[in-house]
Amino acid sequence: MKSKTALGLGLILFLLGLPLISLGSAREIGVLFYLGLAAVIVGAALPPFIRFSCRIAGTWLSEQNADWRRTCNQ
Amino acid sequence: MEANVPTDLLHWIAALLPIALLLLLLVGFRWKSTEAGPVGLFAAIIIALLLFRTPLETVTVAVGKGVWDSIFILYVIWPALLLYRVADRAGAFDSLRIGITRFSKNNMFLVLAFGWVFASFLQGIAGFGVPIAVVAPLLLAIGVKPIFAVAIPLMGHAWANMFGTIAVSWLATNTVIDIAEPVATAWETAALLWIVNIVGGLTIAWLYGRGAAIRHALPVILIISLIHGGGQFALVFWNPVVSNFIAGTTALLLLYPLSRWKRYNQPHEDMAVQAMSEENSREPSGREERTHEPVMGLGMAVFPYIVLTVVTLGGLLIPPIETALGAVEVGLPFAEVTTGYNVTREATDAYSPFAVFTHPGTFLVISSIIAWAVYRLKGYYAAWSRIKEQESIWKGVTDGAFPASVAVLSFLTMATVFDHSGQTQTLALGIAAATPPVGYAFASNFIGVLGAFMTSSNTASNVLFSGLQQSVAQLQNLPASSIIAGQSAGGALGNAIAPANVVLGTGTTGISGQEGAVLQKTLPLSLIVAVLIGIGTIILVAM
Repeated sequence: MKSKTALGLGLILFLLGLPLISLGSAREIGVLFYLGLAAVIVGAALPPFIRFSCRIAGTWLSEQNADWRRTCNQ
Repeated sequence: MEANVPTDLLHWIAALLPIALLLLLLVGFRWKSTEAGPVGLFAAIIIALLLFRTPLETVTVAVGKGVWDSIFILYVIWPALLLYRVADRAGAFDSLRIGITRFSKNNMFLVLAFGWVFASFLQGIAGFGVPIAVVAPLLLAIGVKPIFAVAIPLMGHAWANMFGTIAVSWLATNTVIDIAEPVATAWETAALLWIVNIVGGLTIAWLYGRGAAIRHALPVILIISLIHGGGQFALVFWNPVVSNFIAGTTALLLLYPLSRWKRYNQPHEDMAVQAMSEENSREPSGREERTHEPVMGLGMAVFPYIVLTVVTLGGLLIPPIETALGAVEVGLPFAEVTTGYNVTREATDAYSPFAVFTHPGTFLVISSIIAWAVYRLKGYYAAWSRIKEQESIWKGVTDGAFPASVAVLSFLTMATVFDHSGQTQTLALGIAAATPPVGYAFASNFIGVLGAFMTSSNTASNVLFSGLQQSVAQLQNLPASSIIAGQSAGGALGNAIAPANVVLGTGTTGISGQEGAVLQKTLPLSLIVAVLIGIGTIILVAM
């Protein structure tokens, strides 16, 4: 996954979480509420996850994993 | 039931931890804001859950409100980037760079004109990050290095926050607290903001070329500051709402006669210039040997910004239009939430509603569409693409907007988690409890800085802390007007170091991820200004 794609996906997840949290909160629908929180948490976690994935890929999979290296350099 | 947040050292340090971690990652380790922001958010959530008796439900509502607050700012970032790319793809910035040399060949003057005077004017009419998003690429176009192109408008626009944007922060402060002495509070605030203004001008000169640049620019800095800071100070006695707008516009108009002054019309003497790229260290790059002619004149190059000014003024200063456009407001509902320390946020049908059609983002979108249509009709896109290979406008916008958006979302959700869990109150009350009256007078502006750092908003900082500041002032027998003035000046200054504001600039100058480098420039300078405001507040208290 390109880092720009990851950021775009993170942004979408953040924005997707908003109506779910608002609707779930106002109408007391727990599933929507916590699904919204999960979307935001995953969206927020993506950029640091990519950073650490790059570290691991760079350290342990430097030769085998050319795809990761390309991602990390973008 | 009243909130009773803990103010012991353990909780105070715990509340400080996410902010310290964020700064350490951004400034110390130079992480990208898209990576440091979420880590700060997660730290705030964990501390809220473990140490501030905050139920997951409260955290979730806080997160939702933070995303909503971010949309307010994202609606500036995306249209500002669009306006920039619409102009850039037509060759407007190349033409601007070449055309501007007809007015002045003095880079120091141009940097002050754009980074201080024009940025302040934009804060006066639009605000919400527009000065940074718009001015940073303009500075880049005249040859300023990207890090400096972001740092300069950050320092230059800060003073205009409190009474800028038609005094939205002042009006909000009057809404949340009952100000006993409005005139005294207004003039004391304006007096402290004058410090932010003049030091802002001096700081820009310092960033440009240290002491030699300050000596060269001192006359123009004093004249502009007299108009900006002195004008605002005088005008708040009459009408605080338009004080900043009138002062900012007058200074902008004064630029033309100042550009006729030989001292600022010709290249300055040799000095060690650090803010400009090497080939532009003495004069703008318009006189360099060119391989092409500009595709448009200077008037057409600044056309999008003229349209932006006209549209914004038309939308905000003509009462019938303002009323009609302001009638449409959007907000989302949230349930009431609380914590184990009784920090309660009431249920709302429309949380923090914003008027879509009077939002600066709408003015930027309209300006972008008009500029695009005119440039296209004139054939500038085709002409510029023959000179320089172009990527699509959409790709240019998303390259900057994706990282900026994720960073802003992280910062503002972190801020609302802080607020809803009581961590913000713990930090502020801790400062209040640990300081004697004179110390508190000195520290009051640091609380304002903290609020603006967290939220990127003078208004939000004052809404969060004005009540607390007023209460502590009464408890410590300090004049509330001076303490509110300190809070307000700190809230304005905090915009120079607020990560979400920094991201606005790095996004529009193509240096996303270098937020730490920008903060390394603005953070120490802002601390110096905060100390000066603290001294100023003590003097006001003693008067």
